[in-house]
Amino acid sequence: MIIEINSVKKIYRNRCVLNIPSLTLAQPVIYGVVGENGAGKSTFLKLIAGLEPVSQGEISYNGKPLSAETIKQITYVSQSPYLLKRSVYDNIIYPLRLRQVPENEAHTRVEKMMAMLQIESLRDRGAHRLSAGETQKVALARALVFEPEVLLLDEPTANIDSDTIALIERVLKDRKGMMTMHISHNRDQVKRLCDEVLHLSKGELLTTEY
Amino acid sequence: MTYFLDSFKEAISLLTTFDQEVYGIIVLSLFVSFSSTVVATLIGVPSGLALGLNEFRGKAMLTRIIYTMMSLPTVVVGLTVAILLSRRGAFGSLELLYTPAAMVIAQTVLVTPIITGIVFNASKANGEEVKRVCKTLGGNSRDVIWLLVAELKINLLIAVVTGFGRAISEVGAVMIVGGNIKYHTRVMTTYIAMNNGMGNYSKALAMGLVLLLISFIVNTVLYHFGMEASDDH
Ligand SMILES: Nc1ncnc2c1ncn2[C@@H]1O[C@H](COP(=O)(O)OP(=O)(O)OP(=O)(O)O)[C@@H](O)[C@H]1O
Ligand SMILES: [Mg+2]
Repeated sequence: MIIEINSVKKIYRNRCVLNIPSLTLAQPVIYGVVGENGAGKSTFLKLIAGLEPVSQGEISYNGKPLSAETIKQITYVSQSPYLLKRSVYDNIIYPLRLRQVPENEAHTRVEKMMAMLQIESLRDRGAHRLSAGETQKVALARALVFEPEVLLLDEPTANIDSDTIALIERVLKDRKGMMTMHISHNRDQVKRLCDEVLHLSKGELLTTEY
Repeated sequence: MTYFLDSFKEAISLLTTFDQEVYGIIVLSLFVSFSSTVVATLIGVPSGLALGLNEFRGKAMLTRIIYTMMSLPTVVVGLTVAILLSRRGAFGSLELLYTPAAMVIAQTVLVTPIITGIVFNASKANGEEVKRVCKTLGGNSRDVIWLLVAELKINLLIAVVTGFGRAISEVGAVMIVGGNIKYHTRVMTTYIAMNNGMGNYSKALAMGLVLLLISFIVNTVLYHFGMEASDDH
């Protein structure tokens, strides 16, 4: 899997918040995305996920421009995820239902995922009543469960306790042969987890060492 | 006060004697308002969702127009529809004036903006988020629509019930386009207005009670769903 970014700009109300002349991202790698608040990190990931249109330039995935079809393999977990107004279990199984995965198999995969992230106890809880950390874990499970080729995580461990952070990092490291991009404000975590670092500042990529 | 109580007693007895005319009126009212709410839902829900989820030129203007139309005076709607349906009006050849069909049309005009407006508000708040989640989890546009309906279920229900409440309780539009014709276009509200005018307060009050009861049932249903939605599973 290879993501190519070509003279991409994102402009909000006459203000350019992201400007990336040329960048190629290739697997299998965990990319860290770092930079100050407002640097354009979330915007960057949303563009790659196809959730925001680029104002200029183009992004391609495996040689094809982003489209409804190509973004099926790319998923974005927001820094404040929206969970559906249904149970935790039903949230996590949702992407499998969208893909018409047979019910038995889907069930097994959801159970496995909940066990992996240690959220079995939340199984039947209403997802809209969870704590911030619980919400992030459920959103992560919902993204991991369909094994996307490209996983875009926006500060996924911001509200998580340190034991669970270690757990999540192990899970992410286990995504063999897949690409992960991970926004983080934690320098140690980036050093621990990421193979490469993209440093954004004021919408531009810095080439200096992080 | 005793006068009021006497009217109240008479009202109860009127209802319990199963007066044919009274029941015919209730059934017609329910039929007209139910039909117009169904049509208004079919138009208003998709329009409200589309308005909430899409950016286009003139959206601000259109929004303001819809909000204004949410509080259209019923007599204005009645008058406009009556003119259009009158013999020399644009749709005069259909000969619909003073029929239940005309009443359904007028109430549909009244209720559609209400449903559209409420759905628009709800989808503006959460719609974009739901759309993104669906897309990024692999859904296509059809999946987005179904997920929106599921996520905004309560708001849609509120919209429909509010619309129905407006339809069943309005008197201006049905009076003008229906004409309050006995056994034909007389509904609860026009019956009340007429009996009030003739000094038959107990009859008017009896029908008023029925209206209240219907509104109570409708709100109970709404409350029930609202509670269910906010419950932990
Ligand atoms: N929908 C929008 N409309 C207008 N401006 C926006 C919009 N989304 C983001 N921006 C602006 O773009 C810039 C980059 O935002 P972005 O969310 O990408 O920053 P970030 O690097 O993720 O910051 P943080 O670390 O605080 O999450 C910010 O200045 C922000 O105000
Ligand atoms: Mg951000």
